[in-house]
Amino acid sequence: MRRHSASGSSSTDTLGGRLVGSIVFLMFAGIGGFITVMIVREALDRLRLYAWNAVPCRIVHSEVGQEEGSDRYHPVVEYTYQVGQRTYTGTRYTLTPRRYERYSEAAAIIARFPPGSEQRCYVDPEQPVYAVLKRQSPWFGLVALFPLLFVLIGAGGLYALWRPGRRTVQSVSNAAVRKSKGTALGVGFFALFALAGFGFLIPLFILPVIRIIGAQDWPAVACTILHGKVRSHSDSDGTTYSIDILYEYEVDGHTYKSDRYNFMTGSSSGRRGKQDIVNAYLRAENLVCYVNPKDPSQAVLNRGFSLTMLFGLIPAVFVVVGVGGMIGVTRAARRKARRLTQADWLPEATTQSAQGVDNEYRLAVGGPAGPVVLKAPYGRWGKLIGVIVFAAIWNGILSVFLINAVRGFQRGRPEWGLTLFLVPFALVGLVTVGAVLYQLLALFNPRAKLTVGTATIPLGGSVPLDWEIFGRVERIGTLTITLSGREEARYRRGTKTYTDKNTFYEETLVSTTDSSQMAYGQTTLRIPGDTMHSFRADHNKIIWSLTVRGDIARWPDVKDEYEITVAPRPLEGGRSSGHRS
Amino acid sequence: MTGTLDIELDGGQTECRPGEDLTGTVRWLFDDRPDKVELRLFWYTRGKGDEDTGLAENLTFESPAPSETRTFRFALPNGPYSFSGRLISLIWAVEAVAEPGDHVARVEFTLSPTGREVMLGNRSA
Repeated sequence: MRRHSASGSSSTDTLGGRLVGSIVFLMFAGIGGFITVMIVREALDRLRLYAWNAVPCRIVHSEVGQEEGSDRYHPVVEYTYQVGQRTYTGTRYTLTPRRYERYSEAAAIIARFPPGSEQRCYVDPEQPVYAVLKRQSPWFGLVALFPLLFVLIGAGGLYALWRPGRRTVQSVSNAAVRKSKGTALGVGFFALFALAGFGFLIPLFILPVIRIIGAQDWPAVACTILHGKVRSHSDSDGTTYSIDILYEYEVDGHTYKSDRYNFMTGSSSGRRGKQDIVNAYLRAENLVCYVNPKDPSQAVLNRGFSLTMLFGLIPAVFVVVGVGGMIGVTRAARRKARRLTQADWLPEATTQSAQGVDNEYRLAVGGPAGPVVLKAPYGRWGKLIGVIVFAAIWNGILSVFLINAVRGFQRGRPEWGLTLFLVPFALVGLVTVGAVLYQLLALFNPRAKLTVGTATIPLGGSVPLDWEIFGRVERIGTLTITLSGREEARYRRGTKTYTDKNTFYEETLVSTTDSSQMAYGQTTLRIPGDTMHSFRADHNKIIWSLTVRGDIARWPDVKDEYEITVAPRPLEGGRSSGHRS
Repeated sequence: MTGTLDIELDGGQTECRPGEDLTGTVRWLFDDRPDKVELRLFWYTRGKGDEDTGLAENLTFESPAPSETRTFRFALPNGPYSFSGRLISLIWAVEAVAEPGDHVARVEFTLSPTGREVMLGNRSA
């Protein structure tokens, strides 16, 4: 009997491991703490403004400013206010100056503070010379919760590593308990996925579409281009580009400026196409822009749909995965709850009922009564679609690099390094094409139909097995039907997932070269009594299956596998087969 | 909270058969009253694949005192059997967990019709 208690030791609990863990957790806590402090300081500064006095003020001057040598814009304001008998002049819009990449962003602020208008500004009661027009929200401080999470993880990890009286035997059953509560977690995970998708889908696709539809009624107004260029945005991922056209137009005798080209936001790769658009606008005569009749400071040059908008649909993939995952997890939980008589470690064979015949064992363990027709979990069409998808993805990605290599040869400047690097990948690509052809030909192979006495066979049990081959049986040289049991272990190493298989039992049930015996027949399927029943967990499986093989000369062979369920021996008195995990 | 936690199966029972009762005793001695002491009947896998676990039954001892001895009885399920192959082993265990402090004690046993682990050798018929 193996016993483990709190006084035992564990090889994963060395001093070195604790020191490495401590460094990681210290980094978590340190970086998180630094960012938290910066955010909290900014939030406190903002909060301080809420103690300043609100005072009437008059806007003297307002315009969009641009510092020399900079391509960013900022609101320039000048206003006067009175404290006591003294009049002061203020020039601050917010406490900390803000810069905007787009002219229209700064212009939208200025539009709210036209010269001569009466506004409210906020004045420092101790030093009235300091005032601002806009108090920024202190709720910004809530952003600190995110880096604070890192601080808590770091602090919690350090505590867990070094707390006094720390146990050295780790619980194994905690994982089982967590798994039994996994449905809510799974739904929560996929809900986050869906929310993140919506979070990007709304600004990147839904809002632009709404704005485009709304702008279809905006009147066209003559406008003049002030400057036009392609703006570059560089970061560690490379450079992207956006159209930057500043134009002015007149409404009711008032001149406005805007730099909104269309309703899409952000930037993308491809400089040339954007430069062509800018050049076309710079050359254009009698140019019009479309102006919002309710707010003439809002205008747009292009209010149509474009193909690039489809990129905004990419987050929809996250929405689909998230919503699909939530539905899938919920359905799986319901299915699990419905399988009242079957343990969830016992897989269900993929079958369809042949005819209803009561079976004592089925009554004991639950599930449909036999006999049943077995179905291959991965049909021939499934295999074909699988290899087509793989080949398309592999060769699609490869083609991007291959085109570059081929162009090098066409230009007379071959890139030999790239070419040699691509050779093994191209060979794999050819193999995938071959695999598609192979599976395509295999579609026309003869098909087997296997019928067993019951969908679930107990260890030591035996049931009749009927086979029937449809199609041109005479093409098959040798037909074999094999019963096998195998272990399958799935594991991760780094970022890759591997599956190892080991066949521990194999028995040939049928082997014939006589075409007349191939077409149909019956045998007995006996499961040994001293072996392991079917078992299915997330990473480890025991799979029992029947494999039909048919050798065909100069053609893809028949090879179809049908899983069967081998159950533990039934308990005496027909007791149910175990507890759920 | 510091102290000791221990599990003992009656009669040193380690070879069990499906449907049998598994009985034993849990003892703990802590310097403070634990919030919760849980006893779990479960299986887990060892071997090449990532670990899987399955909970068969869970007992919670209500209002635990700092020092106590409690008995337990589990009706063993029909499976999965304890087995060992080239890639996978499946192990049954009873584990006691006391909180706070994650104090853990575990005792392992085998579950199969013979009471012994099913050995998966490579064989053909």
